[in-house]
Amino acid sequence: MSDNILEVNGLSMHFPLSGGAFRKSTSVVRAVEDVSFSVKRGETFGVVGESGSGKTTLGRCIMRILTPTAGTIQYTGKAQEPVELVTSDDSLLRTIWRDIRMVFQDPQSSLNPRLPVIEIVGQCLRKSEKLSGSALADRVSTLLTNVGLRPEILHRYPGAFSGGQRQRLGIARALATNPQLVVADEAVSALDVSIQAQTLNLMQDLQEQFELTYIFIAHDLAVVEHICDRVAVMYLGQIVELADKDELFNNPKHPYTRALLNAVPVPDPRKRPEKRARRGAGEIPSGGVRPDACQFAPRCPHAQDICRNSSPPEKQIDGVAVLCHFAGEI
Amino acid sequence: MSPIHSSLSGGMRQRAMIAMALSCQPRMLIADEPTTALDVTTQAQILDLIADLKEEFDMSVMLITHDLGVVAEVAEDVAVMYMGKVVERGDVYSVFENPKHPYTQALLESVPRIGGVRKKRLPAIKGMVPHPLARPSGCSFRTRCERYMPGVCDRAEPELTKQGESEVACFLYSSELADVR
Repeated sequence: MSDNILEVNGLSMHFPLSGGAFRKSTSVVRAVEDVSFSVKRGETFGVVGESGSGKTTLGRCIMRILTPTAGTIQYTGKAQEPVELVTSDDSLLRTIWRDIRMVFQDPQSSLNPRLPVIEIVGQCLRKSEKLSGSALADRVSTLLTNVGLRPEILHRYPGAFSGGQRQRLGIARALATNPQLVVADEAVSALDVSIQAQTLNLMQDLQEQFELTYIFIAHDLAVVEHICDRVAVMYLGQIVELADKDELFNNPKHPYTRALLNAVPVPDPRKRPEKRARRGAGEIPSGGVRPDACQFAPRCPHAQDICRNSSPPEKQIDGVAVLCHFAGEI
Repeated sequence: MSPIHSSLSGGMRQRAMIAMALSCQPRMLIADEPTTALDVTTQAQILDLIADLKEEFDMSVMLITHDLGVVAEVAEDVAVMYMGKVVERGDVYSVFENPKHPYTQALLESVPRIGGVRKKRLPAIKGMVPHPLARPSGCSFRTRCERYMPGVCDRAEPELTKQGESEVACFLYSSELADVR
């Protein structure tokens, strides 16, 4: 049995931009471009980047909500044969979707306001396990208890709950089918600090209890450092650095990773002057970079001619994959 | 200024908002969560921009935010609010380095920090903010407080009083109760 629950190879997702006469396709947005990584069973794999970096698209490709333009995604469940997700048809995907579940970003819009809790959490069990009546109620009650909610709320509607409670409902829904892999897309971003801490603790407890693997997509680097084992940093559709958490945060190698770390506000007023001095400028350019150049070059303080004229090779330095011409030298 | 707002990025829109707010040369700028919806890199730029403009126009800024990192980044003085009341007020160094109110202490502990001491679990504040119509008697924070003193905190509401460099509303610091703690 493979140690990797998920192996992604050369994954690309291009969205055509249409315009002009007959709405013919004029150009493509390369939301995800030639991304490869593997996720080990039982770990928490972090994906960070700014908005527009393609991290949500990557999560949606893994969930097969989107069909990737190119590449392969191989899923290996516990005691199962590997399955290729990209070429799977709908009937096979339906069984896979019991194993791979998603927690969504916005707890306000990802729960149907017209459905009671028992349906929100248990709807998938009616189909997949043919549960109904008291069997379903029992199962949903257990799930609610698992995420720290009282079972009495079975027949209430999402409107009656706070943001933190709704996110717990979203987590309970994801856990309903005993999944092995959970893709959490900005699962704690919309929550208050104290509720965020509670939710992170809950996710860690559930990971131990149910032996879950997480793909944790987030823009908050402090949260990622807290919960993840390995981290991939994305910029304009590419993974520019992939490293163990300690290596990434103590010794960032890609200039973009450094820029991100410098931008994070630290709750320590004494570090203010030092941090302001180190900051770079610029924001994500909207698709203006040549595909055969380093995508980060327009914002990079170290950019040379070679960066603007050729794509950087992937280099391996101390077990860290870096996409930079000058990795290890700067 | 021809582009319509939908073609501007989040950072550009927030700059446009700041330009609108500054157009009549205010003495005070109230910024309510100005960077909450932005990426960290853009957030850093907007915070730097606000700090620069504050110097240039010699104006005061009142920044409303839930992000303690942002406060540490730009503020000189801080007021911490809980259920409609200021529970602690002081200069940014006193509040961050020597927080007095149990709520401030818990808030500062519950944020994960880059390069901080690695803990397996984050110390979370138990429970959640009570419903505004079901406000606890006495101190509003007592239902979630680690240092709740029965018979004291539920009887009366603590007043904001001077304690060293900062002001705090908590019975832990009132002199009549010095022997209790």
